Amino acid sequence: MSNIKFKNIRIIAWKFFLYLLMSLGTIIFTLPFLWMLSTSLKPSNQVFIYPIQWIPKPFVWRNYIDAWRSAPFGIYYLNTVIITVLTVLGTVLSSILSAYGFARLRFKGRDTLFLLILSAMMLPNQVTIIPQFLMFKFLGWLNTFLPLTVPAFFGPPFYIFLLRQYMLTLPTELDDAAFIDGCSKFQVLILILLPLLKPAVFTMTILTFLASWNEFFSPLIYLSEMKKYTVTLGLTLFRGEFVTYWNWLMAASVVAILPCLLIFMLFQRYFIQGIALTGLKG
Amino acid sequence: MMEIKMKLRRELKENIEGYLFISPALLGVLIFSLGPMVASLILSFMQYDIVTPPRLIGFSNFRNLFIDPLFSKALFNTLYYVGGVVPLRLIVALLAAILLNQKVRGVTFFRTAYYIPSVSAGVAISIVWTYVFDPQYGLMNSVLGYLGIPGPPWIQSTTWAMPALILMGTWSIGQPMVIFLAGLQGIPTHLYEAVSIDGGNWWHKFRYVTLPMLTPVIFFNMVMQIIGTFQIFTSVYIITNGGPMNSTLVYVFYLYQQAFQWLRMGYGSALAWILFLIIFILTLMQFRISSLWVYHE
Amino acid sequence: MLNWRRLVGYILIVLFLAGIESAVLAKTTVTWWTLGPREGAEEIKQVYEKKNPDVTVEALILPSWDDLWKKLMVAVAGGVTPDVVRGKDYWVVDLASRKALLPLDDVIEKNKKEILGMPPERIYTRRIYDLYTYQGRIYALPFHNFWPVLVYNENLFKEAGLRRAPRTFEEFREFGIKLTNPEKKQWGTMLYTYTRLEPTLVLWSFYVYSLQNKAILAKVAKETGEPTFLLDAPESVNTLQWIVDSIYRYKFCTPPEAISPNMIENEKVAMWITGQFSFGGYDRTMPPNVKWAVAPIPVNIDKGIFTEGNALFIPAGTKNKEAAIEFAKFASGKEADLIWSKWSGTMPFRDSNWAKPPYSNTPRYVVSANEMKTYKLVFPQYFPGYTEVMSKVAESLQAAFYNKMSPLDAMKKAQTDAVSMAKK
Repeated sequence: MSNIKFKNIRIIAWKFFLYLLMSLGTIIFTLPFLWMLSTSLKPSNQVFIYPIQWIPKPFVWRNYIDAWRSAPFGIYYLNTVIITVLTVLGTVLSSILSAYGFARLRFKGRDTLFLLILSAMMLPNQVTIIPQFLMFKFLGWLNTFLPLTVPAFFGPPFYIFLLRQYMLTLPTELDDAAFIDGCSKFQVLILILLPLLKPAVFTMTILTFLASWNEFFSPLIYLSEMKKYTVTLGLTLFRGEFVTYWNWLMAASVVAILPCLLIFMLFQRYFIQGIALTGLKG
Repeated sequence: MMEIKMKLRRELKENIEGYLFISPALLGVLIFSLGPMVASLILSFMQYDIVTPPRLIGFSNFRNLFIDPLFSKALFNTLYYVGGVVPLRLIVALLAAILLNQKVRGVTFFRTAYYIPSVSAGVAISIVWTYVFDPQYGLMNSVLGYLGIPGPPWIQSTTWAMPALILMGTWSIGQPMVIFLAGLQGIPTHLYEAVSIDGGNWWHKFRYVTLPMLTPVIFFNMVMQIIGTFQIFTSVYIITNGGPMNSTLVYVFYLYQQAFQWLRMGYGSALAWILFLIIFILTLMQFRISSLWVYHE
Repeated sequence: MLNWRRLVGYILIVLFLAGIESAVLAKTTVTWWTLGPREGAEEIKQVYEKKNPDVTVEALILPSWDDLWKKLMVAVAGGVTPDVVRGKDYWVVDLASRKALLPLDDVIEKNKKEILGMPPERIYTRRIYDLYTYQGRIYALPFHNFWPVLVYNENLFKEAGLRRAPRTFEEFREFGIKLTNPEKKQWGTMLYTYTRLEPTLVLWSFYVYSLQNKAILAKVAKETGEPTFLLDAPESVNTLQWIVDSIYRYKFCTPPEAISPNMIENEKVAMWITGQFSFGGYDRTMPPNVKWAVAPIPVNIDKGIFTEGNALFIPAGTKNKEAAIEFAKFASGKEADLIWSKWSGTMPFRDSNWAKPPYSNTPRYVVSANEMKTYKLVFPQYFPGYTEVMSKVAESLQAAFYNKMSPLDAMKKAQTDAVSMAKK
């Protein structure tokens, strides 16, 4: 009797300890967000107080309206949505095609070419930025969305890699059956593999969305007109003008991060599993 | 005879199909990676300020690079950052993954919470951290104040600015953590049972099963993290602008300054190529050493 | 599985939206890059648009000079430049030497009366156009200028038993020490240069004290435009020494690590030297209990002041030359001068506007005007590459402010850096 009780207590204590640790970490990782939220709702005279007052009295929701009105955030949002949607589209399309080629098809030099793609993955973005800039300048694409979206349609190496790894884990029996029935390679891809790729594609979509939404370096260099600015660029302008208005700045930051958080919350199930599945085989 | 011909024709068809499917990727690598790399190399031997046509100047850019105090400063700062963030981030991510690998109720909630920092990379979160590090009213020093520790001036001090950035970088453990999680879940449980049977405790399990089995994942994370952290730019641009006094002048930021602020495209290209070489050599070294410590099946 | 038709529909919508932005506009657009305050830029834009209904002015308001320079350089690199830019006056020669600007001599010749004013404005005689001249051609129109004055907190002065502002630099130091109270975290004065290295701010701090010590940072030969640097001359070193002493020896100037936000509004600083451009900001953000007043800048050896300003220039790559020129003329004109001064709080740069209220009867403006009339005006000398060289010099200055280098070493390094950079 006492043995079982003792064991139970141990288990409960252990679980309690675990939850404690996990909660500690949660606090550390979410504290800046909570602080951001709290500051965004404070009236100006409560921002610079030490020690920190966590609950604003009163809740100034107006900060959000004021911040939104003080800069053309609507335009920034629209631009960023356009760029991000196009980028996601391009990435998904080209990655699926290319990954299929590397994972399933046999052709001369396949593995060498794949290594080539892999090495391009390890190339830092900034090494190629100057010639890319000059190339886009030559094409007359500066100050448009093209430099930010077109490269996505050419198979970004990282996502090809992920998708290929994932495809390799899928069974080939269905493919073979379809070939015997006379399907073309393309049909096999669309009709058979695509449904199976859903988790990986979802993950890729989310990752690409986040990367594109938060992109800063490229818009900084390629966009010069305010009406073409993305949310990241617009936020820096806003910050410069209202540098001491911490509450407005936090409100604007919340607004900027919100889509990322929403997408993450909605799809986090696919997310964590998906990255694990695709990123595992190094 | 006919059979061989048909086989060849079939092979040709398969080759063409294959190339067709990977054509976007191939083109992409040529146009956006290889091509620019070659162009970058050529540019690095020139002086080009956009307004006047490019001028061939041989190795001048590289010679100037090696005597440029800001170049060595930028390199040092970047190595400082990479050397700080990568180990810290990986260790914390690993510990977090182990913690979150437990089968308790609600663990997905915690996993989500731990991942959130990685979701919001970029300008917005850098702005938030600027204020987190404010010496008087920021979150960091307030928390330290509760613990009775006087907070340093963080981004206003030449000694504390980089540690501030490192701290901020370490906070984002989501990406490697998730991969560690997957790696942990891939370890066969019978190995742990074997240790138990032999009378080992949690430390033995960790030391003799978990760690060795995780080495491929650790390696992957390490390589990717090093490549990634070398490219730090946004947080420096937003939070410190390279200062105070160039103490946070990192490599890519310096490159951006030289190429796009002072229009030294040739010098910038030289900088870019040196960066590539450094990362390439580092990655190569890692791969070479990996056979010593990474467990292969 | 996704409905393919719906997906295609979404794609089409997105592409359509992307296409909107290339819609043809019936009006001519003039893009204008400037700094705030926003209301000033907006009003200038609106007044101009009313007078010219077929023109739309797109004003991009950037947060800082550093930011504007960076964006401008990227634009020049990409060949996608704005039509009119309001920039620092020392950028003009720099940009002109990179062939990035449109020369404006003929514009000025044709519109001499309108631009130079009738009779010629006392301060902005040919000298200001000298600043914008490179190899014999003029590349900018003036927008507005400012000069340093002393602003002080009357309450803090009263508490310290001081009845008036300091008149000499010795008094400045004396009063500063009296006004510093480490327990209350209160300082006599502060420098505007710390957390972000903005060369303009660092140099400003330096210039403010330099003329009092007769320090000139560089002399530029008229014919060749080549600079001779005097950064390591005793006067320059003494100036830097004076500033560094105020931080670390006499301890009445806030050290870098003690800077906190809103020190002026929180009454943590008793007096500071700034230009008239700050007045507008103070009107908006100063809490009502803070009583601030303006006094002439203290003097030391010489009653010298310098003036610094912003100019309007037109990048060479602009696609709307005539529209840009028309707008620049307006923005540099009398009416815009008043509009801008109203919102930014500065003095109009045409002293014919000083005869009107509020400039004729508000103490801060009267003091500023008198200072300009009675002190010796010195224009700093600009040369190609000024911006980058001075950024480098600012680094050495900042090193001294942070006590990482002695003033002597800092100025020596600045001299070496400047000489080697100008050679390239």
